[in-house]
Amino acid sequence: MIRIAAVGDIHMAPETRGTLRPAFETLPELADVLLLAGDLTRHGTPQEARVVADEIRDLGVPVVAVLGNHDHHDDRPEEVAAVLEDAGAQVLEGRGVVVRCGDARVGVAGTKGFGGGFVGRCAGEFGEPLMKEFVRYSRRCADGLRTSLERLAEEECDVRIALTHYSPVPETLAGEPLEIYPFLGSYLLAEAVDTAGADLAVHGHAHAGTENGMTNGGVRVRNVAQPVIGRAFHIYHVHERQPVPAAAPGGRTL
Amino acid sequence: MNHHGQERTPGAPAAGSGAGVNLEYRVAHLRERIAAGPLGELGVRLEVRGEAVLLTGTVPSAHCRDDICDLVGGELAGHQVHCDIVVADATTPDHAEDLA
Repeated sequence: MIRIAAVGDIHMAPETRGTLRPAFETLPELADVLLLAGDLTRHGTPQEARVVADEIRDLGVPVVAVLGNHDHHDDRPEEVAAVLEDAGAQVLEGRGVVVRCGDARVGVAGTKGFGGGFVGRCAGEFGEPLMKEFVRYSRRCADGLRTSLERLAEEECDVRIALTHYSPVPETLAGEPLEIYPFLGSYLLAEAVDTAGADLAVHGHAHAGTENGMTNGGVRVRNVAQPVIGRAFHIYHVHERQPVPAAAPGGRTL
Repeated sequence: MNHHGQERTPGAPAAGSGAGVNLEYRVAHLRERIAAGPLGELGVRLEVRGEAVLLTGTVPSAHCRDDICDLVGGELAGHQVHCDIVVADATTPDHAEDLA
């Protein structure tokens, strides 16, 4: 059994320095790995990233993160990622990482992801260049997630987790206004998860959403935005088992 | 739509001329300011309820909550502003979910 701790949307800034550290210091007793689902800073400045870095440095468990839209706001996501990596975190974008949890190998594939909406209510790659680029960017993020999960399958990980900031399913957005769903996630992420297979999908971004959901392919989804879970992090016990296989054409699970 | 030829009550504002004072638009612009300005807070909801405005959501600190409530209260002086914004709970969870 793997113990996964996860939280997103902690939105740290100098004024919140040290607020999460006391809870994070209990992690070695409670969890094998900490996942951070993006929006770790308020404005995406390196100064704010250093506050996050101090919260997660030398925690005694591996830390794996993706960035969120807030972490891009200052147009320096690479610097934010570098500050977090200096503190020991693995910051994923279109790639995966394998972490050792006892005897088990846990693969985490990550991307920030992007919006676009959900099946039947989504943006299309058509019209103005800006609109086409919006959809293409979302597709690139989802493709990166799929290929990362596929590589982790080739590496025969015991458990595979998809880590995103944007949501792969509408279910975990329940509580948010329907009108903004296309800005909160994309079905392309869920399609990537179901195509490559995973044991759990974790995301943030939707503060007024709901914690529990599931993809059409049967992969459990958890919205770990801190306002949703109401704690410094949540813990999920994931059992080593056969990953959910890829969906057959037509959506039927083999 | 236009209203050429229609009589209007002397002193009453012409339809469509109140963009600067319309509460809905003022709240909409204020919401954008809270999201895209220095506060950078997208998780706060501002809703017009009659002549009052309700603020809800979760923010990372009491400082952030107070900044938002002070800003809205100042900008919408004369309107009642209810600040129901809460600060995120940073305590350790007391249970785990088993995904068997």
